[in-house]
Amino acid sequence: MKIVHIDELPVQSRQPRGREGKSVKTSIIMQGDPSRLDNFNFRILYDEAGDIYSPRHHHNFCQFYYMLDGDYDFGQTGHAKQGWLVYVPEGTYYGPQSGMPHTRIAVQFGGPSGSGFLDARQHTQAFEELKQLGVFEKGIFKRNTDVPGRRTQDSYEAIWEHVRQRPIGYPEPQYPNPIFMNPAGFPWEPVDGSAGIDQKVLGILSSAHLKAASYRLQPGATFSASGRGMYIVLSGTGSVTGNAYRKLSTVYLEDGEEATFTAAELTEMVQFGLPTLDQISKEPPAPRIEEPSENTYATA
Amino acid sequence: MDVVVAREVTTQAQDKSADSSLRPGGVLRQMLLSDNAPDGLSFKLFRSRYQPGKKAFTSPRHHHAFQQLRWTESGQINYGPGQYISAREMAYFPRAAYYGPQVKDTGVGLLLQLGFHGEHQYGGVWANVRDEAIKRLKATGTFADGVYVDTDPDTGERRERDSGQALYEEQYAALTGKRFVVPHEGYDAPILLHPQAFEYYQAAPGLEIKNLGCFFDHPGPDADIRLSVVRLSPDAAYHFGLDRAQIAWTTDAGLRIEDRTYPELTYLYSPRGEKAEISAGSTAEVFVVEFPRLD
Repeated sequence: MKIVHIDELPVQSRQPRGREGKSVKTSIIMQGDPSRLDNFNFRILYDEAGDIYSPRHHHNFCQFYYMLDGDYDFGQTGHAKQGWLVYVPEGTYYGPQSGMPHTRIAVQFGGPSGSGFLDARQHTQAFEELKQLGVFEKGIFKRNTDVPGRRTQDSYEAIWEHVRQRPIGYPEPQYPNPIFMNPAGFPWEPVDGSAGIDQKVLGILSSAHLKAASYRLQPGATFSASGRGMYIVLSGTGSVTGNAYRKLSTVYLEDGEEATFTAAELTEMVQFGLPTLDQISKEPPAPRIEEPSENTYATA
Repeated sequence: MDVVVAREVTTQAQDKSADSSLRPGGVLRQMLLSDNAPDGLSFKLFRSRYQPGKKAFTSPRHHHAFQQLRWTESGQINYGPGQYISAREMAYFPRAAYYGPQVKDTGVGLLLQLGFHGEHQYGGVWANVRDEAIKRLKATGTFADGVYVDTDPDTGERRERDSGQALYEEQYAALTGKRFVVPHEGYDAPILLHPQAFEYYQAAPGLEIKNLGCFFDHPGPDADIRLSVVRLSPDAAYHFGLDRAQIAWTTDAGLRIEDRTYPELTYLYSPRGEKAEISAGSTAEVFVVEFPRLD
């Protein structure tokens, strides 16, 4: 089990790394193991100016968002409001996303297709190297005319291919649109055998059975959490397996781990389930047919 | 277990005067399965062949208190501007989520509607009050293009309601004396699923399963609707349990239930409290919906 208190984390200007949104600030809450297919990056983003922008795009990894404050527009694929939870499956096109002032928690993670997830250090290094080979504009990487490869490409794709030195492949999306869940539209239900605990199960999603849920703990109540995933405290105080928790404390559980939350005050939290290694394919998706051949991937 | 085969079910053209939703269109429909179960579940499953031009089925943007599942057998079927369900794909329409306007003018597909305790009103006690409800609505307003228009008795202002919603409100009030309310939506929009993008896992020798997702429009540990696809190799079996009502269908010939072998386009309903087994003479892919239970 890992626990991190978001209010203790340094807030940094987000490195653009190919996307717009120069005023966006971020804190990395936790990161996984980049050598594993279930690697993840868990962070909070503060877009106070509302100037973040991403073109319509897709990824070869999955994402959960929780909107702590404000709204975030996903263009024709939806609109996330304060308090909503969004699941973006791997391979699913979404956006364009445009700016409105907001704060959100985001976890990006290797999904069931087995494409894995680039770690932030690899990502940043590739971004700096690619700047020697072209320019990043509004989420698009434009290669210099003397550099082999596609003239324009989604910035994340270009970075991914630069790191992996092979064409990117995308799984066919299991759900072709992001799924927007409004926990306020789900009623609380008592958890059998757990006095003082209510839950809202928002969905069991994808072939990896990713659980999205909210929990409410009455003062003095004890909640036993298990299964690989993140638990984010939205309000309240208490303890979790010997550690104090408060608003925006986050707990990560590995597969097979358990944690016991005991509430001192009325507590609400949200759960993002993550896949276990046995739910992830060992054969990543085949590259797209139209991709250039391997030898066109120049390095800085 | 109830089992029906498409080619043995009468096809009826949509008749506005008899259609409970009072929608425009000339859809060719086969009513396949329905029930009003003791636990409050009400559902109907029908197969529709949509027609082009003036016979297209249209409806305004609206929502329901019931849940829906749509599956396209052939072609592609519209459910909103630029939104289609392609062949062998499905979409889950959550309770209260808005969708449309839709124009269904091509394709063949299944539509399953389900709800509890008046959320879905079909057959049974609802049939007894339907004609009178329509008569009262027509006396105080008009149906046009899927919209019911009347005058608000409290304010005297013109008001428009989805025609299906108006009928549900009228029927519910007639039977219960209470106001019919569509709850707040939990999911924002219909959820489109690509079953072909899921991998099968082996659940037993000859039996493979894809779990497509569980969606929780009602509270309770068993209140989710569960969607899956089952692939049966020859002589392998799949069992429908006692604890939940289930609907299933296949486009493959050779499904065996008890002593009979069924042709393509077979649909079955296993009520809660009953057990059933299916097997296949040749490989068969079966779509399975496990209904929620609220107790």
